[in-house]
Amino acid sequence: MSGFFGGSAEYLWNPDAAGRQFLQPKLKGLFGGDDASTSNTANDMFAQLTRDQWQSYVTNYVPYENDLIKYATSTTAVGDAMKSASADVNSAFDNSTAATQRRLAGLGLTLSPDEQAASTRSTGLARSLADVNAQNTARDATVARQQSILGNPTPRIGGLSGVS
Amino acid sequence: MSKGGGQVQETSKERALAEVGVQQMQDFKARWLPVQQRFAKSVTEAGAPDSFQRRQAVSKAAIDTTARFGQAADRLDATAATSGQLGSSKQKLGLTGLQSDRATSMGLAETAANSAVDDAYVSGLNAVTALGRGEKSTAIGGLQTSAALSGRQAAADADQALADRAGQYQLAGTLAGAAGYGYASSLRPAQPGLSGTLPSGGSSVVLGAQDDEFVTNPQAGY
Repeated sequence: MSGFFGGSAEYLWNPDAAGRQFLQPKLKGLFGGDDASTSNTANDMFAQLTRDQWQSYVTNYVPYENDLIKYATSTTAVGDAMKSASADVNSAFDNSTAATQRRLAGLGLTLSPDEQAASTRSTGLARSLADVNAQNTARDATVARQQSILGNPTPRIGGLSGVS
Repeated sequence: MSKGGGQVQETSKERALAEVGVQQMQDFKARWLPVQQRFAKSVTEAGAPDSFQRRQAVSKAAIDTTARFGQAADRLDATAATSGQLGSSKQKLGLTGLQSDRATSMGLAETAANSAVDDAYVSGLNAVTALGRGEKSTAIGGLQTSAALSGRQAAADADQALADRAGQYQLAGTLAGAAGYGYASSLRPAQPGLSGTLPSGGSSVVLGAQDDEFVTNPQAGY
């Protein structure tokens, strides 16, 4: 690799025929070539600068563009987000059950069988609703994010939210 | 610009433009590129599935929810005590219901926290790639537009380059330099390797990365 950002480009101060000092690039191939010939023309310096800029772009920015494209076109990002949301909700409900038991025990209270059944029903219903809600939220947010990267200026339109 | 013996001599102005372009690139490399690389690295790290930022956001959401609902549970117990309903089914089921609400709130808050981190990740990547796009357009546009520029336009671009030097990229001098090159190249035959085509091997650089194998140009195969 050559260029400013590849670490191998060299610029030297050399005199021209009239004795004036000019920055002089050692011209090296952009993609691995090693033409060690030198030139002190502005023309060649501009050419080398342009090559170095392109190489800098390829080296320093293309990987991040690819990350962005990969996220936008990922077929698993939506599913992963929904799984994560579901795990968060279910973990919260699992912890909640234990916390409820501790709090009741702290007050010296226990649930009767009927109360336990009622609590289980209502908690189960709440868990299901929260799970679905969280997954829908995560899905819509992820799809909107992907659509936004792809250029959709209004990614949160309802009709588009279900497109993955 | 002087001419003699069939060769076009570069002017001192063109040489100055070239030097400024080189020096601006070196300045960019020394001062701004490390900052941009640091920023890009932090964006990538923060967006990772188990990053510190993500765990911190989710934990904060959980703690905030726990604190809010803990106070509500205390008030519920106090109300039951003052009304003589401590130990009643109403009080006990109220308590379990409150804990259920807390779990719902916590789950959604954690989901929102994860989503916020993902938003930050994508926004950060957008910022990084915007920097790259500016540099890319300068590199490509420099060659494409340079041939049409006159000496007067080149001078104007040089002035603009100096003005832009205070900006973020520090690369405008290169564009001005390319403009200067365009002025010179318009007066001399095109040289190999400067016609806008990449050197051998350049065409093998694959820039695309569509993860779902979406075909954007079937005829071209990509």
